[in-house]
Amino acid sequence: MNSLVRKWNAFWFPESTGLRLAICRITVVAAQLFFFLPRSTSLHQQLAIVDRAGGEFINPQVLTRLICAVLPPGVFPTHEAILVIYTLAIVSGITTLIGLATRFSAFLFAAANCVMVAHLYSYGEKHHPEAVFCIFLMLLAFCPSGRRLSVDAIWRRRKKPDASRDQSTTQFAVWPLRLTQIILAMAYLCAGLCKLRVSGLRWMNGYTLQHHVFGDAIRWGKPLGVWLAQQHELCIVLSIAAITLEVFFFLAIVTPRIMPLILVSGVLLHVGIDLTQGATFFQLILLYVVFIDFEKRRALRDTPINETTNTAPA
Amino acid sequence: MNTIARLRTVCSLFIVAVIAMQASTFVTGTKVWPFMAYCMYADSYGPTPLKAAKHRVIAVTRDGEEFPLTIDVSGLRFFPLQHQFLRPMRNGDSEAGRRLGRRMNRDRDDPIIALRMESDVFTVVDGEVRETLETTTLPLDE
Repeated sequence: MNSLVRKWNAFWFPESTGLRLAICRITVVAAQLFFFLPRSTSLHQQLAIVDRAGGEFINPQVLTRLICAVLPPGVFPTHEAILVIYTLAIVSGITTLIGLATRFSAFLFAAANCVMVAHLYSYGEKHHPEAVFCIFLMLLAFCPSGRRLSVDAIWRRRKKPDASRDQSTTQFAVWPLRLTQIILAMAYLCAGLCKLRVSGLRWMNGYTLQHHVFGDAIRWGKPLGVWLAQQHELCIVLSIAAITLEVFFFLAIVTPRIMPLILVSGVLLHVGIDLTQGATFFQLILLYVVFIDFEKRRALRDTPINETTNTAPA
Repeated sequence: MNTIARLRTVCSLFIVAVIAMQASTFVTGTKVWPFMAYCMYADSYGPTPLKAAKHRVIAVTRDGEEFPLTIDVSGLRFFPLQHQFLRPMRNGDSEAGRRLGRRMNRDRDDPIIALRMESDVFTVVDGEVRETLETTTLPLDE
């Protein structure tokens, strides 16, 4: 039992300076703030929907139902409420990015983004790209995400100038990254298993991918997709590759040696899907940052060469 | 139990809860966003001709005005418009038409009475992509 607990703690709670978490925070929050927020949760679309819907949802998300139940009638969703939430997302996004009151800011940023997405998906549609991304944003509020590379860290150092920031470590800066890795792997596994459950090996017959690609390529105007849909043998190969990657993505966690290969394959898969089917999953690509151990890389870089290489005896 | 150990326990419970929520989607499908099942594109097809369509939807008002159905007019993005309304309407569901009409005409003086769906249908025949135009008029049944 003790050895199991030790293994659990070693996996989830290893010592870390928090640098890796800080780099992930900055990468993900910057992308959400400057790229995804203006696009995927477009303010214009949200306001247009509110105008026409008149408070009438189609399939309200749990979060949307909860907000409507808590707030007085007529407050949400309205133009004013959407504008307030959007502004809150922008302001808290900036403070999370620079690491000012980081945890509180991260909570507000994640909450505002979740409400925006949940609202958008309360009118009869649900898409996948934002889901794991929003989970990661929320995790930032429950861990020392402002410990490094932040205004909070600068203030702390000013208060205690003798504290050496690089050497002090914490056990709580890795678990959010590990958890995001696992949720990502589960998402891929679900996608792979679902195809196999619904269609069996028939999903890899080439015709299936041809049909999916052709439908999307025509709808979204993707000439490369129209071409790919007519390449039967290539579609067989790509179908097998896609299922293999989805089912075995978790190996990136348990076998770090092949992690780069799996991540590169994932990037190629998503870029390929975007170019041929117009379905963008850039949030998932960006989340691959949680797999990169920046601290290990920096430690290797900083270690003198005679400590890392075996020198042959003279 | 010291503070660090207590914190580790709390975090561990949180981790297990999050993983359990995600794992539940394998069985129940998507119930609580952002914990989602990823079952898109799971259907399979056999060696049938490739066929796909690109739609344009034109709104027709009682006074005869015509204009493209944008999100500003319908208050709906592509997927809900297609899946919740246009597809059922094409299959003869008049209630879907009534609901869409109510949504779009809430504060219009000149109400939309029909939608004209112009579909560019693309079919691959003998390695060649052929295009035909199909037009369907869908009344909104006020």
